[in-house]
Amino acid sequence: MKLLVNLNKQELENYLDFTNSFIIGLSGFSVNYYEATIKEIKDILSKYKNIELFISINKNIFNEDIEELEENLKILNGLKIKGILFYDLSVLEITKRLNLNFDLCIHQTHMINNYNICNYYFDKGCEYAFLSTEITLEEIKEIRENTKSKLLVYFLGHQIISHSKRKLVSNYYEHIKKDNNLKLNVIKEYGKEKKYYIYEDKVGTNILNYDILNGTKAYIELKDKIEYGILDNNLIPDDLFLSILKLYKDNLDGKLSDSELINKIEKLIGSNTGFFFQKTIYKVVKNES
Amino acid sequence: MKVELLSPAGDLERLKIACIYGADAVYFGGFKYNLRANANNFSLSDIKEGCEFAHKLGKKAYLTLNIVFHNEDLTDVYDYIKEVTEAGIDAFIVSDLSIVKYIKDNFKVEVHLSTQDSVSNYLSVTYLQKEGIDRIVLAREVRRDDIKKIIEKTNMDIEVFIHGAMCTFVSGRCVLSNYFTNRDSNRGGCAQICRFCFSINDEEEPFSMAVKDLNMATYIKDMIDIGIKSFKIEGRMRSPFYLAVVISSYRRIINACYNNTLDENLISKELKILSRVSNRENSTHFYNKEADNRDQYYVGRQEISNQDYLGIIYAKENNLYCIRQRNYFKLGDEIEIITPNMDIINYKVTNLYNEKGEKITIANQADSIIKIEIDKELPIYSMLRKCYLK
Repeated sequence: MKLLVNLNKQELENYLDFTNSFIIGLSGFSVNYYEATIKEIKDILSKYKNIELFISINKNIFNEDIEELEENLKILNGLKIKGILFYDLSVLEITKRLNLNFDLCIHQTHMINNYNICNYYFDKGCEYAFLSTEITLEEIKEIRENTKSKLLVYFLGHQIISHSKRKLVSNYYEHIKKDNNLKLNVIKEYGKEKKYYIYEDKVGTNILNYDILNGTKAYIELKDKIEYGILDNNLIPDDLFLSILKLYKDNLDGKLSDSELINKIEKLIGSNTGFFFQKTIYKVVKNES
Repeated sequence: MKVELLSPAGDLERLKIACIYGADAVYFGGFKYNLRANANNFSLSDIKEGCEFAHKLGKKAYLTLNIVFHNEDLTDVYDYIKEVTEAGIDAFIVSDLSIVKYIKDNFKVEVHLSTQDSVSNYLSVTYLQKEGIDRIVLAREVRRDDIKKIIEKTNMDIEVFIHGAMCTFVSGRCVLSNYFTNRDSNRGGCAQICRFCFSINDEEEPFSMAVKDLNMATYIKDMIDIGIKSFKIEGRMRSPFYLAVVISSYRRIINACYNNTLDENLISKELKILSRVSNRENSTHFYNKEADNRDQYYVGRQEISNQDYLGIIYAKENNLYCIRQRNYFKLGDEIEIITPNMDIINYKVTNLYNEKGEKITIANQADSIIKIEIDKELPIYSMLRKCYLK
């Protein structure tokens, strides 16, 4: 397994001791990623020759985006990127139509939850699948056993919970007739203490978990089974993130035991294990008869 | 070919009501694999009976199979697909493309792609067309000109929502319910967290993400003109009365579009009917603009219910209509009776009997059976409501 790190800036010197695999967004085409321009992507690739760079094109694509998307994909095809993470099927359609040759990874945030859907996309030429953060460790293991897809699993970060095309925060401040200069806002359900981040970008509003997901225990069980483990530095202070990254790297290199890694990461970020060990439920009213 | 009016059906009674009140097709879920796990939903025998009922009236029946599947859901789904296909459904509404492929490879039944996939451009539609999908329910965020262009470029059968509750977030891209309540929003457990009340940045004013309902009554003609094939009403959890009123209202508007009798008076009257049966304000959201601050609520839940629905006629015994009562009314009240053939009849309550046939003066027990003698021939499933159109 390789560690795959979100890039939220162009500088990645600090990370190179620990990994050479990165994800970055594309200007105008990403949700919850740093959106690099084509020039920035070119600069990164020319400065850092030995990195694997995935580009996340994960916004919902509308007709008006198609022309620019096609142009960008053509340009990216000429660069030495590792692959494209995509949400919208137009990316797959363009890639096939133009016979582009970068790797493809299906990245539909909350929708890639079973092995058959991984296999479906694998058969369509998408070698990689970015699994949902709402499935359990056992489900991931079962997916592993039943698909040839190379798997990306999100282990650590403030994971995204919802995305809207609406400007929910600005609408609210307009309604209460107040200015709001905060880029990152915090909401709490009335009467509850649990917090969530909410922020707007060019394409709408995103809600993120406030507590950092700590999937280290799941990572221990999956590190020999999957291709990429994602550590998301978004909103995590750089020094803290580098400490985390170093610990994971030490573990992969055999310099730090599994139990030491678990203990140390827990001390740094707590023990929010998300859905790795907790199944979601949905009410079924009565049994089939 | 006329545009299809597609109604939700939370159970068999609602399916029948939707069909006789003017829907061309109905959609419903079984006990598993659908995004409304809390609706009554349909057993296999219900599905068969529902399909038969719909088909006899020349209507179609679609089954929702639109959860985002987990591994465990795959175990029995393939047998289920076979069983419900044999039960007579006309189409599946699906979001998982591996399930789409399985159905298209093995059965001669239509597959409609759920709005859960948020399809929003013509190239995605082109891809899906090649996968054999027969119809696409577009993302709720798609604008009028986008819909038009998608239809022009692909000639795909396109279905859009025209009425009912809206998601605040992009379908498929919201798992608030999972994180707040452990209920899986993409497997039918959505707890509607977007309608909860929040605080933001410790502001005094409450923060809400809830949005108003959708109401496209004023754009029906335009939507027909740009080539949309199916108009979908939201609300598998809604009451029979709500369905009857909304379906018949849109039926009248659609008929008027084709008969060239649509005018401002009719629209104005139907808007009044639709707003009366709704418990929230409404908007056209993304159709002709970007959704903005007028489409959102700011003070938590905003549902206001009324007591318009008085009861439903379920049988006729001798000269008495048997009514399952819902809200209070009494002798002397002026009421309206709406019928499946879209008549709205004004009536003054001159007699009232309880279930035993004893005279009473008021009907004040919800769900009790009352009887009324009415000197008109009224079909079963006619409904009584308060008079508000005068």
